[in-house]
Amino acid sequence: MILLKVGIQVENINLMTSVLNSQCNSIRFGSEFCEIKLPSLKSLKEAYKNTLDSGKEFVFITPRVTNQGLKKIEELVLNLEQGTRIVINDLGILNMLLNYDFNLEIGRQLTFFPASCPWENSTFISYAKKHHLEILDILKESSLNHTEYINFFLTYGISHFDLDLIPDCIEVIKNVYNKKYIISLYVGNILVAVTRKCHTARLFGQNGYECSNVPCVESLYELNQKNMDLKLFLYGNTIFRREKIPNHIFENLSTKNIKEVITHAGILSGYKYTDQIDDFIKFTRGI
Amino acid sequence: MSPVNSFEGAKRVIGAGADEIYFGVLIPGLEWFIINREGISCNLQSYDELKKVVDFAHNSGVQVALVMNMHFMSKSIEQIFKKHINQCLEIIGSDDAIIVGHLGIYNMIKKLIPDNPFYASTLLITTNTYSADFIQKIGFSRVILERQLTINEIKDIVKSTKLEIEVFIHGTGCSNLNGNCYLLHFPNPLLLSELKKIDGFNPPCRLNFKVNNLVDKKSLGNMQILDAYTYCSLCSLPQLIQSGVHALKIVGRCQNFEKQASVTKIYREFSELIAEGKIASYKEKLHKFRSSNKLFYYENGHGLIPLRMSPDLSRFAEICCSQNRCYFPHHYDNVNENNERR
Repeated sequence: MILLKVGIQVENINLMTSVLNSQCNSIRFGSEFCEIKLPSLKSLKEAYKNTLDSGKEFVFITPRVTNQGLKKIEELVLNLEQGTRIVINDLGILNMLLNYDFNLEIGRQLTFFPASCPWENSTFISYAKKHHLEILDILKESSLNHTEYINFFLTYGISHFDLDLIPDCIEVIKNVYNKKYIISLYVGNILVAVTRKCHTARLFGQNGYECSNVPCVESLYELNQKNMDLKLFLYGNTIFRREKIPNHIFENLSTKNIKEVITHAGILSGYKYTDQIDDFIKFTRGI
Repeated sequence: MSPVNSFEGAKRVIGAGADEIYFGVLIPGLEWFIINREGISCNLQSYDELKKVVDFAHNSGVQVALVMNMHFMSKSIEQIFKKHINQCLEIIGSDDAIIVGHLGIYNMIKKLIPDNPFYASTLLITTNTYSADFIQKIGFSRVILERQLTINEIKDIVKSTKLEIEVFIHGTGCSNLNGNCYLLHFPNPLLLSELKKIDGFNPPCRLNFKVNNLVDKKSLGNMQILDAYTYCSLCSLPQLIQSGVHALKIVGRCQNFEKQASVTKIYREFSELIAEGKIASYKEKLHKFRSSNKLFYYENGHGLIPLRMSPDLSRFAEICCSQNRCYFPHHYDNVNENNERR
């Protein structure tokens, strides 16, 4: 039986030890959503070396950036060996990295997934009743269900894509088995919105695009809207929603084009210690 | 670049001074698929209406851009969409632009009409020079930049590329990146019935949320944590025009044509003063507008009606003219016309 690989995303260098000691296969280090949170060169080198020394795969994850962030990433990647996997969420970073020989992966911000909408079910069930039942299946699809979309990135040699694990959509994702590409699935926190003008920074009294010393990696807020029956989570400049993940969902995933599942280390997932991370890994393996 | 959602609107907006107009067309068979937060009223209703708008615009010497910026496509709806594209292509001219926000859709349409100009929608979230370069490499002739950029960042992008650069100057917006926002693109029927229509835009970001800190378990109370307001950039127009951007975009395809025309007229008047070098007149006019609290009135045949840019009109100037309500807050923050700190 082929086991699903497990990647752990780390944005806080202080959590590296817990992750290095876990049974995960790869460590995604960097910043997925915020260029201000891109690691320093020192942190990157430390994380890179420690990950390789532990026998795990190092993956560098990058956010959407302005020119300032681009410059920083250009400096950081020079310290990674060619062939290192880099997750990109910005077409500018894609353009820049085409000059190198890294193993590029398309992040979830570059793949549109309608089911990420918090009220997808209530909105479209009523529509489905009036129109066609097939509607519900279409809304379980993502950009990855569009051949032209996949082909666009294949022309640049990119065949690895990230997506959120949304339980209702898993059969649709599995059934698009296509030898051309592979998928990594994020588990636990579904992306709903990202901003440059950070909502968390605003909570700390900072407006505009700058933020300084806002302890966002250690802050997590629950946003409740009772009338809409809506619960969201604010982490830094990103809003997530959550869905319960049934453990049988991981069965047979690795036989299709889904090769890896990913979760976060830290406050977003609640996994701060090695045994918590290992428990998650066991959960994905049905143990 | 002004928004249009009807033939009547096109006449008004062109009469108000728009150089270019942009619009979408209802897709037969996909009316239920409100993927872009747009209700049916945000688009031209038929191919007949499309023909009328395109012919009128061409006869008026106004450029046209057809919006096909759905940023989701799948195999299941591809055939319906292709049929729609072909219908539209029979009507628009070879100089008319197509606005696209999905790379798969771009690939699809480009194969059908390789020669028409393509504009990269803001949904492709272009925020840096390498993105703009990539957009140009793959065949777009213009990019509509992401809203959340400073004027200096826009200038850097303009300098670095031969692409035409289009920026937002007025309309609704919020802090969330448009191309990644799943709150925006799916209007919830419950939301539409509960929220009052404010400028035709009903984002959930305007709701109050009860905010709880999950770390220290404290409640921060109810607040409008996710902001969503109408934005303006009249004060930044001189800098924007000097930065070399090619087009200034007004948001509002979901608004009524009186508002669309009124906003177009105001920006036309202000930008003409700037283009003619009449900066003193521009400043005087701006001061009058702001202090009269009559910014953005429109005529509906019964006199001047104020545009409702906030629920409380008496606080209009205060709400609109503040750092958080400018499209370019860095400009608002004590920067003079040379972009230097006062």
